[in-house]
Amino acid sequence: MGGNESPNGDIHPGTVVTKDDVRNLEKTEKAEDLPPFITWVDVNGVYKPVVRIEVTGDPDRLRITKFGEDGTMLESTVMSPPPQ
Amino acid sequence: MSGKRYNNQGDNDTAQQVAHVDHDHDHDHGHQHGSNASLVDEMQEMGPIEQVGSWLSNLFGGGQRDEAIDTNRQLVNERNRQPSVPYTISEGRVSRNFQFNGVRADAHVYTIVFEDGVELPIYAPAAPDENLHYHTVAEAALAASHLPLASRRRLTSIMLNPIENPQDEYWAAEYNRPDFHSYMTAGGAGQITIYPDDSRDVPGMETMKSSMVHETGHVWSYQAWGNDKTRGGWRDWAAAMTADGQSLSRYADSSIAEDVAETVQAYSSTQGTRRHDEYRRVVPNRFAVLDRDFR
Repeated sequence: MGGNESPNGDIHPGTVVTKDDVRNLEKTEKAEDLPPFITWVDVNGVYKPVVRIEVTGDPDRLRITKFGEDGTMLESTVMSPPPQ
Repeated sequence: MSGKRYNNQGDNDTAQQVAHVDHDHDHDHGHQHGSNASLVDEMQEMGPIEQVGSWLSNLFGGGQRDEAIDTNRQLVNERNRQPSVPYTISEGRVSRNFQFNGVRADAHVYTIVFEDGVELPIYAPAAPDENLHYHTVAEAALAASHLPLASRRRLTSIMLNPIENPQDEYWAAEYNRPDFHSYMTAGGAGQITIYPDDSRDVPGMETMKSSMVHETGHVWSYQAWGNDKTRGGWRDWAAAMTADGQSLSRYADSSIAEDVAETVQAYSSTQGTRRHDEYRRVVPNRFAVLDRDFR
């Protein structure tokens, strides 16, 4: 199943813009070309489509923040710190 | 409500016990590994000498000395000096077929009731995977008890996910980082998800506490100031950044959102200490915004 459809059968608006501040690039991808766990976020049982992703931080501490249609921050994930 | 009370202020017995858990996990990574032992069980294993030693360690900061504030460091990584707010953890109940991130499974559900009025459910896998390393319910509760009220009141739940983040494989490939592993997700609506690790132990308690302060700082900023980073509190913050002329870490420099979260961490972790005043001298305009809005 592509990312254009949520696990509940909802249809995605179409595209996801990724603004990557770590690699200094920006790209637009079709939701159908991405996995659903990238293009949808479960918010209290309701799947919200992701239309924008911001990658910040640094290569050892990447942060992935997803935003919904109205600009709402849906979730922000930080990777594990390197072993000390 | 039935449950056990944890108190770092006035109840010496439980204070020592909580301090022990706090201290112990910073150093020897005594985390849950494929089991779901409760804090009560962990406390019963302590001896009185360990308790007193840990209590003294906690009281005097574990012998650590503060270093001068270096704004060129990678992360603020400030030791959390906020006392634990007393709380109770309810008896666990089972929630069948609970929707975790990426999998449905039976969950143990606990309710933490903090003395400041905040109530927070914690969801943990009823049958943890023996091959994964997990944070415990006790650790999650303790970390939440050290949060500033402004952050804790924004939370709606904490979930100890039974499996690693399903997104890890995607981002590992995208960044050519086979070791990419999600640690914590903060949902915009206030859910915190903490992931297990298959290859190494989870980070120590101090990292967990500081990560939770940082992540909930993100939740707070978006909930308090909205999503348009050109308006309202975001605009005020941008002006404060310009006026201060420097940030608290290189990580903060990666975006305005990270700048806020890093500053919140320094601000809230040091309140009531001289360290707080040292930070204020470095970023006075940002702290003034937090004085106004961080509540």
